[in-house]
Amino acid sequence: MENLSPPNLLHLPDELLIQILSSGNFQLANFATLSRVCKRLNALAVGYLYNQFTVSHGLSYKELDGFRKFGAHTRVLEMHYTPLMLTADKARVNTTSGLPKFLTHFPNITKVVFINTLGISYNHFLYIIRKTLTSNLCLKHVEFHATVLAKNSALRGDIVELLDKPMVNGTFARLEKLVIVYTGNKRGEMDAAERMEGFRKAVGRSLETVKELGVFVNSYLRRLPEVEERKGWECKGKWEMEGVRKVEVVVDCWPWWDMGVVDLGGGGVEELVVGVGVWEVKRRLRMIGADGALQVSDLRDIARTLVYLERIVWFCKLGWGDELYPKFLTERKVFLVERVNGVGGRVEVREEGEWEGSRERITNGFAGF
Amino acid sequence: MSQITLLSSDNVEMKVDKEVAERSILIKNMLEDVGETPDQAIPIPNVNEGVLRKVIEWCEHHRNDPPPPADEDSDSRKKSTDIEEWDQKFMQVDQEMLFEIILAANYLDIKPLLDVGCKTVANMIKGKSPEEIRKTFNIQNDFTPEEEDQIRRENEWAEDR
Repeated sequence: MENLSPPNLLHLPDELLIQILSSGNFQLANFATLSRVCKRLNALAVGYLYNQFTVSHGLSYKELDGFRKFGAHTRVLEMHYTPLMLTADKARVNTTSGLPKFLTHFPNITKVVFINTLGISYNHFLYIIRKTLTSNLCLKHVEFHATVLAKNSALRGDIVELLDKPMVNGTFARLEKLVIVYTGNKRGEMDAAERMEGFRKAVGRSLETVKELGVFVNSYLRRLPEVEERKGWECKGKWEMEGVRKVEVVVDCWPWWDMGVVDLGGGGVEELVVGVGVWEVKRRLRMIGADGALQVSDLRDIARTLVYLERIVWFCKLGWGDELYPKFLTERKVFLVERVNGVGGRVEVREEGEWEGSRERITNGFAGF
Repeated sequence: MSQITLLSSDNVEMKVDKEVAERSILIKNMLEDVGETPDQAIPIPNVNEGVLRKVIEWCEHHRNDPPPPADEDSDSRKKSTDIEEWDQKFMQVDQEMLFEIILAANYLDIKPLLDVGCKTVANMIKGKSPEEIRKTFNIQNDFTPEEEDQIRRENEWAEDR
């Protein structure tokens, strides 16, 4: 039978109630108040209260279980294992192994940010990456930031087994954005290429759908491998980046031969951000010379393979001489590399024009390039 | 200036400039589908005469406004709770009419009017206690005292944020 009573707030459909709550510029306090009005408004208000969930103090997972009932409302979850947490609860900071299990209480999360500056093992880091991606299938955006301890840096058998497990359709998150930030902190750790390979395997097929990729690897030694070591740095497996449109790769000791680890060839990359800290190391060690450092010509070679490339941003830790910022070419575009903020700042590679229209200037002005 | 006729749910015909009626995306799409100005009245089955007159009044006043941004989540529009003075006066109606206007704006797909209606209700909620909100909107408290207390304790962390 048709409801003939005049409309009031609760007669509006959820869709319109949500619009009211979203258009009011409400603070959390407003939602807390609304949650106490009636059951229907409570159900909507808690969706806003627990939409984003950040843990940055020393709560144990047992204590956090209290939030379990709101887990279905959470879309963004951030876990920070930082010195702040250490101060708050020293005894409970080493509980990162519980993270993947804890995440299963949040079945609808689309974004996870995991930050650990206290240090976890490399094996543990890989475990968290793989388990997170196979436990939370709605994830679209994940960020894993960790300082990794050198202790037990070799891959353990059980982790190798975990990473070798096939990821079949329907058992893993299909990511759109992936960021991995890794900082090594001790001598004797594996080289950057080994680390990268571990991350590639841990992410596995979740990489297939990634459109935006950020990889930041910073090894403690910050040195280039010796010539005889370089063989071991070669690409071990493809990153399968067919869908990636934007890439940000900052790897210390990132010579051109290491580029194979993050295979950009054949993809549809439109924006490439690269960074290299090698120059600083070379200066400090008085090793200035052509060998090893990422040269503009290397960047040009990379860009040549990326036929859809529209923009490059190039980071470096120290200012490079202006002569190192000549124009370079891709198949379709001409870019101009220019320093934006001076020493230590950002370096922009600005598009200069189309290939055909600029051919003469390039030939005349940059014949040696 | 061509005119069209709208037919309310209680069978009242209203003549309105086509340009004004086209503030409603629903009507605009219907007219585009037909291809020419229809001779017959366009039925608006979900909106009665009184509400339709109010909606037309709003559309008349805003007939020269630029179209709303295509992006529904336009930040500047959503974040601000400011309502133009004319719209504030327009929305000074009893609650029954206010919610009827919101429902009609939603049905007729007039986003700026829906936005004004939603902001008006949101402003009526802000700054009130749960009991005051219940009283304002005639909402029955369906929590037991224990349930309400538990919810208050669970969400206490948000009360000063």
